[in-house]
Amino acid sequence: MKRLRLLGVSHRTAPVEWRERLAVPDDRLPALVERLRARAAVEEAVVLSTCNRVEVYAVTEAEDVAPLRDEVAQWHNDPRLTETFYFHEDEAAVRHLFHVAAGLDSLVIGEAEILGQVKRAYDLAKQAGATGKLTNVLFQRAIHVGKAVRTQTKISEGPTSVPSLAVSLAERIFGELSACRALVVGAGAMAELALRALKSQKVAELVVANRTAEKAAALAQAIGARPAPFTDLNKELVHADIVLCSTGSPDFIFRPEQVAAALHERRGRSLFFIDIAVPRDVDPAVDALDNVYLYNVDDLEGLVAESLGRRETEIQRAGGLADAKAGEFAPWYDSWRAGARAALRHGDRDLAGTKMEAHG
Amino acid sequence: MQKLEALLFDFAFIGYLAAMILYLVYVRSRDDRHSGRGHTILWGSAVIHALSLGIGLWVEAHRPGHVAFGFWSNWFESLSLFSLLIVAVFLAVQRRARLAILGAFVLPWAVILMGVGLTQAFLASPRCPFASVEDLLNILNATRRLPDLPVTFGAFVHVPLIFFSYAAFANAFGIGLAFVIGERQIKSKHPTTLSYRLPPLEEMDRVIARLVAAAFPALTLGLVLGLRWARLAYGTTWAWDAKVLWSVAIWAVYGFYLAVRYGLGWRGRRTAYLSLAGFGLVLVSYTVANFFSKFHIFVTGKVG
Repeated sequence: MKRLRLLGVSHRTAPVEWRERLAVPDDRLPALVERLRARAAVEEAVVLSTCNRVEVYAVTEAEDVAPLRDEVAQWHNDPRLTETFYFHEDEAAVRHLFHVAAGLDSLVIGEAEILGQVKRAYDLAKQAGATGKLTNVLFQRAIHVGKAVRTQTKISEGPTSVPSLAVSLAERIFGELSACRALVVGAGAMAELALRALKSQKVAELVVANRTAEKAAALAQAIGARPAPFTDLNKELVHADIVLCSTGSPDFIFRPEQVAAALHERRGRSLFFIDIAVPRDVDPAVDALDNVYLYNVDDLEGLVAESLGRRETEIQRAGGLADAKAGEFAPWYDSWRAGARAALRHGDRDLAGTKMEAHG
Repeated sequence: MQKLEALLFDFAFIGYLAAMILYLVYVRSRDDRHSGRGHTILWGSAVIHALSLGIGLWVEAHRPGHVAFGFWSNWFESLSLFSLLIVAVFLAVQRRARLAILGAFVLPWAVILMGVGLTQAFLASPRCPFASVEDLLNILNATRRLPDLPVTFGAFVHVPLIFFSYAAFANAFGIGLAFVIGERQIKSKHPTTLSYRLPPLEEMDRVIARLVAAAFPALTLGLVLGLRWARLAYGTTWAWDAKVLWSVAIWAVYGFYLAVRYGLGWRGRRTAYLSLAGFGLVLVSYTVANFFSKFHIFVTGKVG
């Protein structure tokens, strides 16, 4: 009897060193689909492979999940791998897919990327000729549900981490970060993380300054930034838009009179200080200056906590919505299975044909 | 003709209202379809509105013994011109900057002004509010008369020039409001969903400055033409007219804005408040100063 079966591993069941062994590169997909067809009696298959999950949605005639499990286990030859698998079938598989598409099963709940990945997995399967009546309808529905959940609830709203919050605040002030210059003061682990994050945002210029010039130079070279002497900080302040401070200095590095002087030369252009150093690097009195936006580590973490708290209630709503959509899909799924059953009884008559017969 | 003019005015009002609602919904939903529809409706309504005003102008110009000069000298028609220009300037801003969300801050002004015009029509002729526009136009046309003065091209265009600058100031005001709200939220470290949806602060600041920079020459030229005509018509350039006084005050505020913004490099909150204050003066000039003006008092549209 044909049915939808799901087999997967995700960040919930397996650490990254296990997941990465199963990850499927795009170009290997057609060959895998062929093997699934030949060895696991699979008629339709969509493989969703991201950094947080590998899932196989298959329409199969097989009596149980064993052939599918054994076949996928062979993608990487390690018997322990099967212990990390989870299986769902029929409505539970539909429900799972809808939750995944809605971002409810993601590491960062509500993240937007997964929806594009679901769409891509479906497109690739379609190109490989692996989709059919069920998977076509199911995945289009899942993409629709993913969009609906994000527009009807607020699970994707608000920052979820300090770096993403800092980036979105900078964008609220300046717009595209590709036109912004960033100055990172400090060369510790946090400074390095910040530099990498800013680099990935493709800022126009990235400058790193540190009291020990050698450390700044080494870090600048490793990341592709420009090192600046610590004594030139006032000069750099005139050009930078985003200033991220993360030094171990016991005293303030930026004081109001110093910043005010720089602002005068900046001709009013905004200046965004992100002070993640403890003890703080920027004198809080700087905040009183016009066109200066100063966030310290407590401000940022407080906002992230607030936003995560708000998401919590939205997650409940989103889960309910995804479940409701899965419930709405159930009658179609049942009629698809009934059609499959009828087709089995009446030979090669299609779904529409059996329906007409039933009414007549 | 009046019937068509009035009908088109009504359509334009309904269109602006619908577009405004769509832009307000867009603020909440952030669904591009809403702002897209709003934009289309706004364009269509602006064209309809321009047709309505064009018909009025044409009728006026072809009336024996009358010239088009009198056209904006009553509340109703000046409100209509003002709101059309606000919408036109907003469409230009959105075309350049794609700042759909600002529609929610700018369009209410156009809708309010049109609404005041409709109210005036209703007060003049209490039929159904939409039908009364035609009645008002008939009354206005029947009572329209010109002072026995020479009419020049300069006298004719000084009104739309100044209204164009007011419309740009109205846009700058709406965007300034959005800026002040967004700036306060980010500065106070309590950004809400709204501040994530507004355009970046620096961009709003730039748009405001550009609007003022574009409007200021038009205002200057409009004032100069008006004053020149005053000398021609009344023999004196400066007649201590309330409206002229206010207009010079407005000119000074926005001139100061441009001087500190481009000369001294003031930006952000302070200049935003300055542009808000400037538009406050515009509103006073448009309402209160009118009643104290010798030369600019509007025809009320009441017979007798």
